[in-house]
Amino acid sequence: MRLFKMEFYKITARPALVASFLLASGFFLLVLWQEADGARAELDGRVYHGLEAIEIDRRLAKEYEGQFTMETVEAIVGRFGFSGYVNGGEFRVREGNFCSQFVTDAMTDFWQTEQRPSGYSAGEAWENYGKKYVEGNFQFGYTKGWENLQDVWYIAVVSLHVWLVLLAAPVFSEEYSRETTGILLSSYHGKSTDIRRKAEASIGAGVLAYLFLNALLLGMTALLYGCDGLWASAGMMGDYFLFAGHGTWSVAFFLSLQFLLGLASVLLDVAIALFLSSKCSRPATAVTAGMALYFLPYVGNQVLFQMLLGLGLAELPWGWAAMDALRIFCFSMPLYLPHKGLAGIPSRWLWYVPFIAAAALAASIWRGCQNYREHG
Amino acid sequence: MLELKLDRVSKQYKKKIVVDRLEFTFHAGIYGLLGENGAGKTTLLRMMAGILKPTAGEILCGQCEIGKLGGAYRMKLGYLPQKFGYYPNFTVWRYLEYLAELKAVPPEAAAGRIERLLGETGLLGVKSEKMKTLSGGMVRRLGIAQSLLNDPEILILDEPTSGLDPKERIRFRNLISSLGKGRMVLLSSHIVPDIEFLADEILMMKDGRFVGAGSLPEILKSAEGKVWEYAAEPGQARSLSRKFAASSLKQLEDGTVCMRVISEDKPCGNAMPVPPNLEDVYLYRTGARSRQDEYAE
Repeated sequence: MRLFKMEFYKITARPALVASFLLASGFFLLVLWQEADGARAELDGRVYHGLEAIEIDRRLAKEYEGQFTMETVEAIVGRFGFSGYVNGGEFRVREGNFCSQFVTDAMTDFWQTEQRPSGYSAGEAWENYGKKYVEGNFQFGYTKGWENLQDVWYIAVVSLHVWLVLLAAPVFSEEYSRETTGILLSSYHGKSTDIRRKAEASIGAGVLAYLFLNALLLGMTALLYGCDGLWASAGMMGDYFLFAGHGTWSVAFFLSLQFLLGLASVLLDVAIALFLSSKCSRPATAVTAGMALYFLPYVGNQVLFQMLLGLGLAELPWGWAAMDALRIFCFSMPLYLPHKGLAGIPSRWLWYVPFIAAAALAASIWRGCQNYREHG
Repeated sequence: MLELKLDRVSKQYKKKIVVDRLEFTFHAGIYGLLGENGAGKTTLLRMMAGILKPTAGEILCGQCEIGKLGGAYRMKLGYLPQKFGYYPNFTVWRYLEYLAELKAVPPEAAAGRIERLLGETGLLGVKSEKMKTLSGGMVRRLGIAQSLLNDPEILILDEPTSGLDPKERIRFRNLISSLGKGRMVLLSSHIVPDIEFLADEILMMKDGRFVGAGSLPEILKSAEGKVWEYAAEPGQARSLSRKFAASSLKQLEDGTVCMRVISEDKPCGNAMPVPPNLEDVYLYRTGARSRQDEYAE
């Protein structure tokens, strides 16, 4: 335990690093606050702003909480009408309240026309979109807070990943650059216990930072928006959940899953950074490599995949398999693991993701420790 | 009885052989390792410290290969590398506490031992200072202190006095001299007087091989009759210094040059044989003969 504490101290006793973490956390809390402060709700001809608007929305949503049916839709439309934009221009503001806005988005062609609709979608549009909300066990509830949290949370986790690369990259590489390995590796614990403690301390610091960040963001969201809507369907937060077949998962379940995936991404991020740290003779090189590798899946998924598609790789017999493999690999990496878009990938891929992520984690940690142990 | 044996130990990097089939057995006492830059001293000491693996051969401690002994061997070991790294923002005390933990010093004994070692190395006054504020000599003394934390049976010191001023060097020599009792100390240095003062046994290394081993009298005897002194004219001095390794060239008031050279045979008419010192032997073992041969060619 003493050695773990000492290694933990070595890794975390960097005032600039701690300050940047606190600053970034504060920034994301501010963003959440700003989102809440910008809330707007209309009721009975009166317009509410900020926390008052949130209270109104919560109260109204509570009245229609539960299974979402056509009766619910008609009751909401009958009472509040559909919701368009208050004004034109660059900074448009939505009319209505949470209930009328959700029904407008889900049941009409508002997102295509951007005009207040006069009625529900019809024909194929209805079949493909609106009908999906009312045909199953879709639970309505106030999920605005969780929706806002989703967006801020992902950016916060990406920032955390970048910070973790800065945290973990010097663990081994700084020992090389400071030329302390001679003494460390010739000590009793130097080639065994201490290496494990370094890895544990890095992972421990990453997990603690992640838990702290989540506690802050979750706490702030609960404070601003309350804990309503946790048992509403995740499809309330975005239609991609619905179309991926996970729309009826509860928000609580989805957030828990996302939390666990975020935790997995933190572990993998630290593991990869430790591996790179063991290969690089200087922390700066390890950091650069860590950042490049972290964002590489974005290039793979957004750029390379499109390029291969354009080149007609999919036409070849093994083409789709290769392209699937590329995307599965990208989604197994820290950048994409906590992304809400993971809910939208084909379920046949989902089975591969945890295996690849786990294999990458184990291999990175093991090889990283071996590299450091064998450093001569 | 403590014993460390080199059994045909070699280290090769791609095509370059840095350490070449060394065989030697160490016991308690102070061993001085003398050799020029690139002779393989640091590589040998790093292998003996368990940091590098030999490409061939074995290093045995009590009949068992040190790699297999692992932590049991490192428990007996204290090592001060040539390039001694540290953490600038650590205090002296925290640094030694960290290393004491790495060296498995029991926590209840660590504080007392650190205090004693800081006292012996004259660093008690700076125990709360950050390491980045220490002078080069202080850092080097701290290096010695950390190497003794686990009261090692085997102490390996790679160029411990390098970069120190004369006063610090003397302090170091006295400290190291007291460490040799009941312990095996391997000390490498460029500074011949330090080896001369400290070592019970001297090992000379060139191109990865031992070119001489023995006590100081034995080493000196090996170069008897090979060291010559004479006064030469400046022009003659230049020519002779190209042909023979010169351990000393001193300009005299009358314009002649008093030369002390290493040569198998009398280099010139008025040369007189003189008793060799360790520097002479070092030159004799590491370069004098080959220089004569090159000149002859």
